[in-house]
Amino acid sequence: MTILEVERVEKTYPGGEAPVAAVRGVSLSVAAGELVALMGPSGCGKSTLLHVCGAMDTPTRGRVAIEGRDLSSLDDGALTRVRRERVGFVFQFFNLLPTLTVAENIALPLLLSGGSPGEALERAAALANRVGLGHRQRHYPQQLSGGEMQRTAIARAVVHRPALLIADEPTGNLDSASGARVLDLLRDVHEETGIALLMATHAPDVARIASRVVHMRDGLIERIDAGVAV
Amino acid sequence: MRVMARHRTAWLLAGLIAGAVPAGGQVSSSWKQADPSYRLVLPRDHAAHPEYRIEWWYYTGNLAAADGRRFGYQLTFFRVGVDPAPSNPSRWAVRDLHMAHLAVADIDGGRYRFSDRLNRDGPGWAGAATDRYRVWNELWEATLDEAGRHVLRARDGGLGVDLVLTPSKPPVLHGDQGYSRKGGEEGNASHYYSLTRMETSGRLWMEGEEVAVRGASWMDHEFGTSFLERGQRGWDWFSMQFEDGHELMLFQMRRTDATRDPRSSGTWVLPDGRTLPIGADDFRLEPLDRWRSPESGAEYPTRWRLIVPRLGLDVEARAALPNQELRTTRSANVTYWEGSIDITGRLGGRVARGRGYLEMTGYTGQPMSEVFRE
Amino acid sequence: MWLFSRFIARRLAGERLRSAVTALGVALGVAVVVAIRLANVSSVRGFEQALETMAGATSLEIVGSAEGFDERRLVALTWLGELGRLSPVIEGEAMYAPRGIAGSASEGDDRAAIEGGRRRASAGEMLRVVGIDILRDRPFREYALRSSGREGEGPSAREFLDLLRDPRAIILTAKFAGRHGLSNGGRVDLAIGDRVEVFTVAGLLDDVGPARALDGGIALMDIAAAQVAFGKLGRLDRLDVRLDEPEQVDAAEQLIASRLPEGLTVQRPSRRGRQVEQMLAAFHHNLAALSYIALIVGLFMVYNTVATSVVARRSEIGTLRALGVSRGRVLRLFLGEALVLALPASVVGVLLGRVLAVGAVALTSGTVSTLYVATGSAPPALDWTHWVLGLLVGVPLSLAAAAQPALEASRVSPTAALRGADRLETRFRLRRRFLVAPLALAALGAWLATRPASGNVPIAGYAAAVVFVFAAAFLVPAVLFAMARAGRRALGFRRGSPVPGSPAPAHRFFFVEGWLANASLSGAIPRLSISIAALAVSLAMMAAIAIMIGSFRETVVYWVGQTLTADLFVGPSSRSGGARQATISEEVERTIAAHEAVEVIDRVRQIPVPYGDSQAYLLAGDFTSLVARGQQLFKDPRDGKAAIRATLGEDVVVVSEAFSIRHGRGVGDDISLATPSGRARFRIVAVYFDYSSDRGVIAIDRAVFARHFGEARPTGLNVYLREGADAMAVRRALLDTLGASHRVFIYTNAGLRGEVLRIFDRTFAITYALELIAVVVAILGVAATLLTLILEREHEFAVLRLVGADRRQVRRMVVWEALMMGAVSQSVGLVVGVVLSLVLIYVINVQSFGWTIQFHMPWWFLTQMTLVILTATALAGLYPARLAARRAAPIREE
Repeated sequence: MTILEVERVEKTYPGGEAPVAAVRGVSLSVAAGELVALMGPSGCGKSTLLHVCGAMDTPTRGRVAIEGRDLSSLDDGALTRVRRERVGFVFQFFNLLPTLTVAENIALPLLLSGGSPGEALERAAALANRVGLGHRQRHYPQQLSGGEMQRTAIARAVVHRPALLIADEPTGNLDSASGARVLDLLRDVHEETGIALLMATHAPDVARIASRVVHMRDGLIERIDAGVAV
Repeated sequence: MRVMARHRTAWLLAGLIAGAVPAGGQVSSSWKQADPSYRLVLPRDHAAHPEYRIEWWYYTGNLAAADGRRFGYQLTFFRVGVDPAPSNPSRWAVRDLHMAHLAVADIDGGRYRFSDRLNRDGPGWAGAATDRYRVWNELWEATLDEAGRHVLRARDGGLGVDLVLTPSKPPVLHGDQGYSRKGGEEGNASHYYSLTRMETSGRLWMEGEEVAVRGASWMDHEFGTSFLERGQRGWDWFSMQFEDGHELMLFQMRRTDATRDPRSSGTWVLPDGRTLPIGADDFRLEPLDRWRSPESGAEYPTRWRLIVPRLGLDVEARAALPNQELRTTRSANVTYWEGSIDITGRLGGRVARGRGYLEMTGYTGQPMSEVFRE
Repeated sequence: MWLFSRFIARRLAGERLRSAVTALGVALGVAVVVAIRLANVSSVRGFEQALETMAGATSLEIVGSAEGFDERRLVALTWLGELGRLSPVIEGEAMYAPRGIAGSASEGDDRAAIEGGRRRASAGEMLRVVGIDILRDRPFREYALRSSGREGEGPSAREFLDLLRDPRAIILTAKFAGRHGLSNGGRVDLAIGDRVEVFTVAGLLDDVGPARALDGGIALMDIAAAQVAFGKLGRLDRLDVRLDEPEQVDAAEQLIASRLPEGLTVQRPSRRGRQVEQMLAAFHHNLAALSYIALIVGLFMVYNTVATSVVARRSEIGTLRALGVSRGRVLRLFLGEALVLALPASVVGVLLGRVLAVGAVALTSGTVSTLYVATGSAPPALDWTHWVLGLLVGVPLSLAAAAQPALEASRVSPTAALRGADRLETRFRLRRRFLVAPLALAALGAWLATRPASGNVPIAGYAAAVVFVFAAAFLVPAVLFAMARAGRRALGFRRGSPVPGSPAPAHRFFFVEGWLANASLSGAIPRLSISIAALAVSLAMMAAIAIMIGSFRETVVYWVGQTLTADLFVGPSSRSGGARQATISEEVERTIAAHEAVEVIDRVRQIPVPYGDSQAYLLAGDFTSLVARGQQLFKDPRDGKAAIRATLGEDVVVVSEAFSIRHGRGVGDDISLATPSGRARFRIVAVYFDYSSDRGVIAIDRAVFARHFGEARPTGLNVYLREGADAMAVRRALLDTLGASHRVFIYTNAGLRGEVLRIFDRTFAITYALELIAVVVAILGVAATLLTLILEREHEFAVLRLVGADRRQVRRMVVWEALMMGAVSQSVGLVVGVVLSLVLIYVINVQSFGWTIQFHMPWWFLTQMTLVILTATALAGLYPARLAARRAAPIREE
């Protein structure tokens, strides 16, 4: 089952002298249970592509569909609903709310969707345990290490059982040990839930857990390698 | 002979009276008219006669300090009835107005200073007693002491007089025993007498300087209710005290048509006190030099030639100082010239010398006749 | 300068709205201070200017008692003439009362008639009538009689007198005549006391000399006519002295003082102005103190702006420091930011102050006229002193407010730039000092509250209030901390651990946005504390004043209910226009006494008297009647009536509490009063509660009064009706009978109570207005703070949007934040407000006005206020909320 479908997507930002084309026509699809890694040098358009895929941004041209729903036909409210129900995000800089505890950060998507706090926190607690932060759930983000923060972010990204998990350089800001642990966690979550995972990364060893590795350069897909995990 | 009363001050009051009389001129009915049968008795009649509308006490004199410096002075108290019975019970209700003029001339020093007071009775700030002779206006006063001497006191800052006057001749009753007709109508008259020679001693103040003085004064007292005249422009009035013991009171009234009024007249007082009336046709009066007041713009004759052929009198009267003009624009708004004069000439073939006072009116402002209009 | 323009000015320009709001806060604060200053000055200066213009060349004046002095005493004062000129003066008040508006007093029901009476009073302009002897007065004052016929010098005294000699003659100013369409020679109807009298306009004065005073509300009469018209036959109000040597005034004053007989006093004309100033001092001090609240709030905003600017730019400051910018320069940069805000704000504030002054004068002149002294109703023009005042309070205080954050900026180390975006601030921890400081301050405040006043100015009381305010401000962080915890708990997150299956009850109400708002507020406590403190402080003031006024009002209501026992109260209508000495004529008294339903009439005479350096009221009433029927509440001794009964007929007085406190005189003490025949001593036998005048009342038995002061007409009548009589009907009947010939107001008991409260409410209108402005400024502060936070939290919003928050949720969250800030402020405000109200009621009020007020909570008002404040703060959050929602795009990853 195809979770994410990208067809000839272009994304152009209005620039100074000439518009900057970050993505210049990319087609890609991710099926349930797939883990697709996006690789490429800085400025190759990975992040832009991720934003477009995650319903955070709209493409200039082309079509993006999540679980068959064409995002281009949706307004801001509907996009928000797609994000909060069907997509989860993990970023390089964790993006936790500093005023909320670990458990609260994890529960946030459920709460924003109108879920009952009891259930939300219950699930958040379970996930915190799952990502190895059961003892940390009452702590605030600034009391955590980078790896712990990223694990919290991962828990938050999947708390609402999304179909698609988008991760943008999830290990980019971590030391290698923590990075490895985060990658392992991502893989485990992916395997346990069967969630479709699209991840941009520089880490070469990511390939070892990916179904496919998409190499990008200058806004275009350069080549696609089959991953080890297949 | 009925000598016309000395009108010298009547004009002064004109302004006051004009305002005091309601339109229609009915006011005189409630004031007493002069009565030919009234006999003046002194010192009783020095005191005030409030039943009459107009009354004044007039002192002028020529004095000298011990060092010979000459001074002239004038101190006058006027009472003008306004409303014989005011309806307002307040003490401040205006029954009479009291006006007083004080002037001192420092003849050798060429200085002339004056001041005036204008008041209602109020709680006794100005008035004229009826039981004895005392007229006052604020702190200025004229009274009779137990010895029958006139005591004058008036000061305003550096200006003032403090004098004792002793009459050395009997009073002169003008007109018919002091009943002095003023016009054609019965009752247009006043009661009028003068003390023509009063030995004077005391002090005066000129710009703050106190000077002990001696000399001779002249006093007039006149009261009545209506003696206004029409068609008059002004007066030239003389009082003369000759060194040989004669005195002369004489005035001419100038009409608006520049002619002399037929009521111009005078009184000749012999050294023994007997009097001779002088009629309008008995004298000639000729202005010689003139002085123009820088303040009021009026031009006053300051040297006169007077000839009374009947008396063998031919004298020149010269203002001891040209500027003896008194102005009260802020209070009663009157302006006139009243000053000391020197007299030289001949009387009956002999040299005659004397001092006196001259009053000249109607040289400035509107003609008196208009002010008079009731 | 270059650095400043790049670093500070650009930012200020970039955040135009926030800068503008802060500047507006300062401007409003300055404006209120200037406006109150102008209004205060206008009431005193109005009186003093009138005094000055009317004094003319007067060097000294001789005065007697409040009832003037016997004119016969002038004879013994002739010696004064040696020092200069003398002019006796009668002063009186008359109300312009053209025919045609008379008679309406009997129309309509009671209420309408009361209203009508007031309308007439305000329509009828008051005239200050000066009775002079123009023959004496010329050297004193200049009167430019219009078209007097003579060019140049104007009319002579003699001509002037002729105009005035008619007892019905009056000279008006051309200005007044023009205002009312009167012409020379025409008639003018004036109400003097309760009578309407017809005068003839004998002349018109051009705008010179005394005619300039009181906006032309001056009239001249002859002294004799004035004595009759104002019932002062045989008496004078004063004797003006114009010294021949005016420069010798000191020596002359001493000389005259040493020679004046008993009962007469020599004084400078300006003394009366000083008495009025004294009398108004308490009223003015309180207004001035209140006016500074808005300014303090504005200063909080400056602090807040600079502080946030410093916090937000730590790394930039670090960069600057790393690049070699000195500490001093950094300090100056941020002080410069405050200066750039404060300078234009102060200038605008002064101008705005002039505008507000018109309103302030409108609000206060009624009070001043009703309670103190008739005065002009236009604020004075701005002069340099107001600019100095505005700039002096605006600029240096703003700099002082900015000093602390600017210092902090200068202490930022160059490494701050290297640490990168330290977005994740250290979480706020409750430190001991957050409790110690406010507790210490509160203790200091409590101590200050027990200090006595210095003079009549409760300096220590004000200080106590200020200290409590700061205590409240310092307490805010702790309160916020507690609230954050409590909020979290209420929302179901006990110590951060979820309780499965049991949503907290509050959750359904707050939704997730409220919870988020609570969380983000608790994350920004140091930052928020300032603006919340500012709002809390102004709300505390508002609450305190509301409690004070509410308590005062309740006390007055109780007092009025207890002490107003007569059925009808009669007074001359001109009194409502400000005439202090207006009296009831015999005809009116007879007419009322003749009414069949009237049982007893108490005649009351209340006149202002100089006492010490100020003024008090002398109230002559019938003590026998007071003992029989009066319901006065006595403070000391409790049974005041017995004390009065025991001393009937003796030279004793009963004084009001305000008098007792103001002048430090109690039962058993003697007071000395100037009477027309000299000074007399009276013993105080009782002190009673009275809320009619803060200047104090000396009550004296009529018979004793008459013995010392002479007979005088009453200024009011208290009428008791027979059992069963209908007060309203009697009132109507009396007004019908008195009809057009007299101008009286008659209140029924209920009507007068209403009137008392109306005056009461009017008196405090300005207080509420000032407070309202302070609260508005504070709410602006909340809005400014929210704006700042939003600009800083764009990233946070992006994360929220990322994890699924929609725009509405972001918006709601910000509104919730505003609302919570309002709620915290209001709670702190209410608590501190109660404390402050205690200071106001038991310290400041007693010290400046001398009133015992029973504490009373105005629950309804406080509830309303709370709702209004919550609504207002929520509304203040709307714009920032919208801005947040608009700006919050779901991506922001660096």
